[in-house]
Amino acid sequence: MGRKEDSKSAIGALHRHVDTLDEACFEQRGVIDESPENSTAILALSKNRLAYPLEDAPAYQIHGKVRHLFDHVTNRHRYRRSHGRFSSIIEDLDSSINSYRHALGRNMTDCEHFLGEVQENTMELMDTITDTVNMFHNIVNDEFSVVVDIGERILQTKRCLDEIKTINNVFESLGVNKMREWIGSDLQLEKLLLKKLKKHVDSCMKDLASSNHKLQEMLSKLIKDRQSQKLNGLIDFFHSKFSATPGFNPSIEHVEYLPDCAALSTNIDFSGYVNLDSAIDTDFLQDISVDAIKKAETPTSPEKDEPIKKAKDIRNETIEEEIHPSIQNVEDFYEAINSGLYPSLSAMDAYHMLEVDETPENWMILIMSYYNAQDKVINKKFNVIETSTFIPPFDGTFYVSDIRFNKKPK
Amino acid sequence: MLDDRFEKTVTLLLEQKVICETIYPECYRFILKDSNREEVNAYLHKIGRSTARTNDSKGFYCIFSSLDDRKKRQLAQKQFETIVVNLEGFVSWLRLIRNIDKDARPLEAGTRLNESELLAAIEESSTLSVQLENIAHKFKKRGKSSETKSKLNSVLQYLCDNQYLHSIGKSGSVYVATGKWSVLYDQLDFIRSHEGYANEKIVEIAPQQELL
Repeated sequence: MGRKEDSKSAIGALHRHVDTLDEACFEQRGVIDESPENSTAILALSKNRLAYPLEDAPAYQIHGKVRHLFDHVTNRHRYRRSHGRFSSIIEDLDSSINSYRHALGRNMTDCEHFLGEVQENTMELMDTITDTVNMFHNIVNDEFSVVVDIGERILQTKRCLDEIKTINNVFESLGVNKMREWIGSDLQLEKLLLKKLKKHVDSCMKDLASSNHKLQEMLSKLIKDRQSQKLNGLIDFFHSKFSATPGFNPSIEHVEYLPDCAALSTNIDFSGYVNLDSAIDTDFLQDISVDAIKKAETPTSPEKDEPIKKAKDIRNETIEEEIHPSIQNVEDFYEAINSGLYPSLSAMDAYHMLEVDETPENWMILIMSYYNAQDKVINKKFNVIETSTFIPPFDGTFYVSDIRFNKKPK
Repeated sequence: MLDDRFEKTVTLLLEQKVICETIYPECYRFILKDSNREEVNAYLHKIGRSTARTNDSKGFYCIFSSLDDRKKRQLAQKQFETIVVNLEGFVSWLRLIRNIDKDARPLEAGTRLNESELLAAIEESSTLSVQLENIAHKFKKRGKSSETKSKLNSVLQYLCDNQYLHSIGKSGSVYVATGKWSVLYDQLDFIRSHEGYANEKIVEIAPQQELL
């Protein structure tokens, strides 16, 4: 047969004889008795190498791998059952201890019988505790490994942490006080309960604490993973958005309710004047005053090659203001106008007559600047006529070629 | 001591700084305490302001306590626009850092960045080099040099100047991300929801059920 056929045959055998297997695994320590009703199951299982005959008994042993599989897939269910078993075992133990103490000193046979019961209950309790801690450990280590979704993993981890609290409550009920109450002054009970049971409970509590620590770490990492998942989602979303819509520019103008992150206030810079009357800050105020004076007095450093010119005292001398020849020409022109001797004067005629050392355009600008400053005085006495031509292409651009001042008749 | 921390905290908030463990550890620890935060809020409330905490609780910043006033709303809008202007550059930078990280973890407040490690990763990959080039261009930090090192340095310096990163140590080549990234993530989340995209990937924790 091929690989696939082997697999199908083995799984088929397990499926068909699941009841027999379940009973054997959990009630017969993996042993199937050779009996007519089990013959089909034994044949199918041994054919698929899932069971083998025992040498010293007429029975078959189920393969360890099959037992592990049944353990694995049913551990949660068994955990649930075992958890409820605690209370009944503790009640049984309590009852057997009471019976033992009652029989103590009265009937030796009863006493030995009840002590035997106490021992049995103690061993059962210890086994149950071990099973519970181991099964919890398995849940933590195995079951989550198949869950991919982060939210589901967080949920399961949180549930497990809550379960640890419940188990701890069971352990608390088996504390030193309870043990002392059970033991009284009996040395045999002390040896059994305080030394054996308590030691076992403490050891299991350590294991449980370790699982708890691991769970806390898992939870913290899972929450971090979820946070990273969310942030990565944001980064990817905006990357796609900017790729699909270049120049994407979100606006909050029409958003009615703005969250905190969009209601940032504006910056306020703090500054203040110093208190000049402050006696405490006298030294500081003096320092900053000296510093300010030094800065104000700092002369500009002369250039290296330039000789230092000596200062000359010219306070008693008169300095004549130098007037630019063109400005002088303008003043001469307006002096002639204001003299009233000429009925009509042209700016361009004056330009040629005075031999002004400027372009005609600059001369006209100088004349106009002076006129704009003095127009009220001049307009009273003269009609000012501009000679201008339109310069295309823009309407309103004129070239003023001359300005004539005609004396108004009195 | 208490007054000193109060003054420092309020001053930073009004200067529009984001108070986080990375840059202002003392003030961060101060405002983390509810009673201190209430005291700060009572003070700020008188001038129409209040404190806000980022979703990841890694940063505190100052907001207008009410936006009923039109002028305040305009100012808040202007503040928001200053972020939006460089949004593409910030997103590209976040993507670059995530691509470099071996676990693809996003940059968050408190993340350490080593300049030499970033440089080594970028120089090894032409895709990352192109990404860096784009980021430098977005931040207007392209410069004349064509060297990756120079570009990376300009971008890091830009982020430091704007308090998104905080340089630590004397060598100046190790940086720690600040709480400003937390504010930015909150703003991105808001923009996304405002744009009409539901946050589909986030799994809310269902009510607790019995395991056993």
